[in-house]
Amino acid sequence: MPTRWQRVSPHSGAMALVPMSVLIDNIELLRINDNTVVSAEIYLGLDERHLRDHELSWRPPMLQAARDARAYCTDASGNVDVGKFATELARLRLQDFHWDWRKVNATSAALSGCSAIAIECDGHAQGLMIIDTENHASRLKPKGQTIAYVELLTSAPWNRGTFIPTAQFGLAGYALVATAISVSRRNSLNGRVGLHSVSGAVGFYANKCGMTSFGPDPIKKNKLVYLEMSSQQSDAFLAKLTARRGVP
Amino acid sequence: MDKRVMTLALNDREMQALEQLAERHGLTKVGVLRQALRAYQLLDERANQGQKLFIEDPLTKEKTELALMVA
Repeated sequence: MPTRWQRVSPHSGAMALVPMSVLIDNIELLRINDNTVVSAEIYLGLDERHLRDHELSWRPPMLQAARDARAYCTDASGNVDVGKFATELARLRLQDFHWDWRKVNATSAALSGCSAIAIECDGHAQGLMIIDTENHASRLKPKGQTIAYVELLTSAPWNRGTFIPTAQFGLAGYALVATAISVSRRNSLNGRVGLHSVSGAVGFYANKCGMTSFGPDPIKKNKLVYLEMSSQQSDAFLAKLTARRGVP
Repeated sequence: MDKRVMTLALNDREMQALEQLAERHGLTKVGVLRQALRAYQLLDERANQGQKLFIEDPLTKEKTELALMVA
């Protein structure tokens, strides 16, 4: 696969070899302001423009919203109520505000089986994902089959409908799950997908996407919830998404 | 990144351990081996720098030094 050099940090000259970004598929998003279905591109490998989108367009409002949430959870003496802050971050769907996608991309490029995915629409990244197609196995029966495991997944802050109240694109979360299924199928994994979810997103994956929840995973430090989607569940999810073209 | 293939022969006990680790951690056997390789690499680097590795009993706080041994 063609590669390119990418800066690991905007603040240093350290470079990492990462796969070049290649268009692999298209997917539909819903433009909220005029309620039209628009085509978005799915790229395998993150290009510099995707990383700069995250650094310059995504992170600033996310960091500001996180600072505001922290201030809200700080008492007059300057003590932060950590539990309240965590709850607030979950409510605002901001639990990923500190993720450095430039570093994530460089790290995942060095790992066998890991790929980075970008969903782009209107010339900007709308979703980012790191997916592993070799190293994780199904917990649903039949157990032990290789699955497409979503290491990290995030959507642009203007598509979350929380701290930026007016979303630009709907279906972004569904598009990311559909993309994971597509990557699973491309790698002959029959649509099997698994992931660990932050608390704020468990309801979406379990109730809206139909994934099976295994509850908090004891092997994870912060007890993230493990969810998995079988081949049949993936087919059902995609059929619902295609048929309704709205919120399932 | 280009890959190279190798064949690995394990005895029954080793394979059982590998399968148990894979099931416990939701990994493929290859996934376990890759993580083990990364862990070994990290520990080896630190040991070469003269650092020591300790494990701590969470109840008694007693620390025991862990030594890397090659079979």
